[in-house]
Amino acid sequence: MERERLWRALREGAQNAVRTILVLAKVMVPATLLVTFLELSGLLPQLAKRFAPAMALLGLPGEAAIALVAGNLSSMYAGVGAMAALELTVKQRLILAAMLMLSHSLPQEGAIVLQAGGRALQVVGVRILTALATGIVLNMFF
Amino acid sequence: MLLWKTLVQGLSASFLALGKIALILFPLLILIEIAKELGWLDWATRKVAGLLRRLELPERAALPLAAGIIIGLTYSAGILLGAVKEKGWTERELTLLWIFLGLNHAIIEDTAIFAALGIPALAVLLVRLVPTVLVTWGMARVLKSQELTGTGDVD
Repeated sequence: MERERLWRALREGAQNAVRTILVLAKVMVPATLLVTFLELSGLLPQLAKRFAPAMALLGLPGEAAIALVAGNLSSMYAGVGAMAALELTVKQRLILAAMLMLSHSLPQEGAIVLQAGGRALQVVGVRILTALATGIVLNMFF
Repeated sequence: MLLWKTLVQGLSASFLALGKIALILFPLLILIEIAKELGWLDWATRKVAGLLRRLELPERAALPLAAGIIIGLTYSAGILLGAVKEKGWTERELTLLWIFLGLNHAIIEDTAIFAALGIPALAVLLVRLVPTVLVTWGMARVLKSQELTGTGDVD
């Protein structure tokens, strides 16, 4: 590959990385702060108790519900930020990662689907169900 | 006191995670650009075309799908919307395309992010790809039988 193209690739790649990290930081830092605050103030443990029975099906602690809610309603990066503030085992991280990757940013991404003429509700419904099923299956067999 | 503790703990947790992500993201995204220069998107498009045949989706979806899988939904929305609008897609094809893409997009970036947080990259890829292919395949069957029995509203 000529030097010019290699140089272009280096520049583009680095720019993309900076852009991604900035987007990530903008969402992740506030999400991590919020979850840390909720944890330290004792609100999250209380909230977690309510979610614990449902989350047990997914092999996740009740606290992880906040990562799922943030990831699905806001952006996946918010879910990642919440995850960074929680103490989780590798298995729990994998389950949460799978669920967050399969289903996230539903309002924004649903709008894109709608714009492109797809059935947004159906797509969103399938994503939520796939994420739940994947979490349950991973919890049982992993 | 609580606020101070939140700031210290929250900022250190998020910057630690961001630092790990940056360490992986820089080399990875540069590699992707080099691969693009070498015509890698063409190669990926051909691979995706093979997958599409199996999922009974039209092969002309290969380019937007490859772009969406690799680059991501929001970034590649332009290419995708253009490709979707210019060609006559049936509603079944469109819905399947979006189910697949909704479940599975920006896989390189997303995989890198979770791998940076301490999950094996291969596991991250598999727990996303396997459910995506299974569900799209299953939905292709469901939507087809709806079309055949006329219960689905086909344009």
